[in-house]
Amino acid sequence: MEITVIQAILIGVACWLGSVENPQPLGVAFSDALSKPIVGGTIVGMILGDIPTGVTIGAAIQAMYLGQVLIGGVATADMAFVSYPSIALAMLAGADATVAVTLAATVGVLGAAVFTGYEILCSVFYQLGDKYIAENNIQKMKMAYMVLPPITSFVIRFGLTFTIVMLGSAYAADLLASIPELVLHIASVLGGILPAVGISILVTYTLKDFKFIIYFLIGIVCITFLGLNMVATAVIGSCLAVMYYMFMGNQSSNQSSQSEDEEDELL
Amino acid sequence: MSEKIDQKEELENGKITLTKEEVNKSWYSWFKYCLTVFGYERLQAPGFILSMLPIFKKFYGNDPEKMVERLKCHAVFYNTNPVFGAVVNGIVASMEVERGNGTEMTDEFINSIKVGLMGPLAGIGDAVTQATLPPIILSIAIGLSSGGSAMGAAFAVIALYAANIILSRLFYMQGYKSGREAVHVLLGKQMSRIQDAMSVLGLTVVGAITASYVNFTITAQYVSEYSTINFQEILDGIFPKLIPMCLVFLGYYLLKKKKMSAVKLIGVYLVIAIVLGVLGIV
Repeated sequence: MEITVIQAILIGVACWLGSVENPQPLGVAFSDALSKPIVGGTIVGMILGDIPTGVTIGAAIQAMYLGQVLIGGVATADMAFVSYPSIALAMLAGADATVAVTLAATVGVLGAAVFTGYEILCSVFYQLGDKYIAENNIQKMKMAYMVLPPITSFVIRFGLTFTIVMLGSAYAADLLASIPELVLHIASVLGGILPAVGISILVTYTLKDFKFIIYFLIGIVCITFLGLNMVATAVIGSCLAVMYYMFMGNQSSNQSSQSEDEEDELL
Repeated sequence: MSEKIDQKEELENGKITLTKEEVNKSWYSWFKYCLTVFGYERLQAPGFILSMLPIFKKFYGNDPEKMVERLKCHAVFYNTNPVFGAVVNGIVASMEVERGNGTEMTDEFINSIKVGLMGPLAGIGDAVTQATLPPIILSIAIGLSSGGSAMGAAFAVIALYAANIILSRLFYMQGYKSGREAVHVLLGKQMSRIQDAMSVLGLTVVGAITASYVNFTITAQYVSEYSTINFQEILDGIFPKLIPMCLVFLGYYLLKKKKMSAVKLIGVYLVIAIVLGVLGIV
């Protein structure tokens, strides 16, 4: 598949808009939504003029990153790099979904390394901010916090995406064709296993008491044996959560009812 | 919500309170800029400062010394869940308004509240806004995308954005309205119970994701003169998705007990895939 300079520019800008550090007017939640591979795949598909392929690849990659979390500023993969340059590259090379998943995993890990570099670089903006705060220069402080970081992020994200996509259109297809069958097979096996990374992180994060593993098993059984879909399982999970809350509440009945009410409002 | 703030303005006659626009600006600054300067050094400190700026401008607009002092107070490490953490911005905003009206309050007190709340809120917030909501929304989106439809992406953007912005606003406004009162509620025993209940929901969903999206199929067969044994079929008869579940347990063990990094875990899975792939088992 061929790519024009304008298409490459659009993909580069989209990658920047879909990065969580981007303060576009709609707020961080919008960038976060744009960074999801299923959204990125659809947008890249639109730009390259083949929405169905983009969506199919995006959906396959999304499945791998369902459990992707960003905790304490540490991520295993950079979602904007996964969702834009890697999907574009896969489409340009004419790769199928399983190969695209492995490609995305590779780009994601490399992207995380690039993003770690950005995170270290950000120290400069904190120092600049300190300097302008001490001078009581609010305008310049705002510049250090609101203007300079997005520009830096733009240079990194747009620059890399544009370069990767332009080079990719020339070489990706040949490169892909030269990969042996066995490697592609292993790549597709790995694509099937990789979702376990994000899931393991989620389990580590939510499992404080090992006894709670029973709820994980209930989730598995709902899908495999009972044949429920994700929404039905989530409803069951919610019911279990409410039951847990009520049951534990009876054990500690000396809590004031007032504070309970406040919490209900909070939730 | 806006009615309640108006009421507060009337009740506190004689004291300066924030206008509705200022409250909105404080909340939206956080919603927009909380991750702008995304560095390990102080993470969301700039986002927090920008969120307090409308308040400081109102009270200390003509007092450079005080302004610098207040900004410096908040230029310290801060990191929490962007959505649930908005409640801290609300609480601190209402405290800063009290302070602006002359109530005695040390910097240490304000910072201890921020530090005390950011951890628990990151825990419960990430469990909901990262571990529970997105997987559910995105798995519906994947379903909607079948056949290459753009519907899935549209649904994902709208649902994720709506859920986050609504929760963020609710939390900020609740924090702003209850002020310091909210702190002991958030740090009380009830909260850890809610946190546990959330992990019940989170783990159920995570189990469902495991069963739906981790794939591992044994292709090797035992062929003898009399019969062919298909190992995957036997496994499916006992417990489908047994191996994906074990892979997740392995990941959990390595991450939690062996303190392995996630990137190394990817390496471990890569080795598993290569070894089993070369041997022809999968």
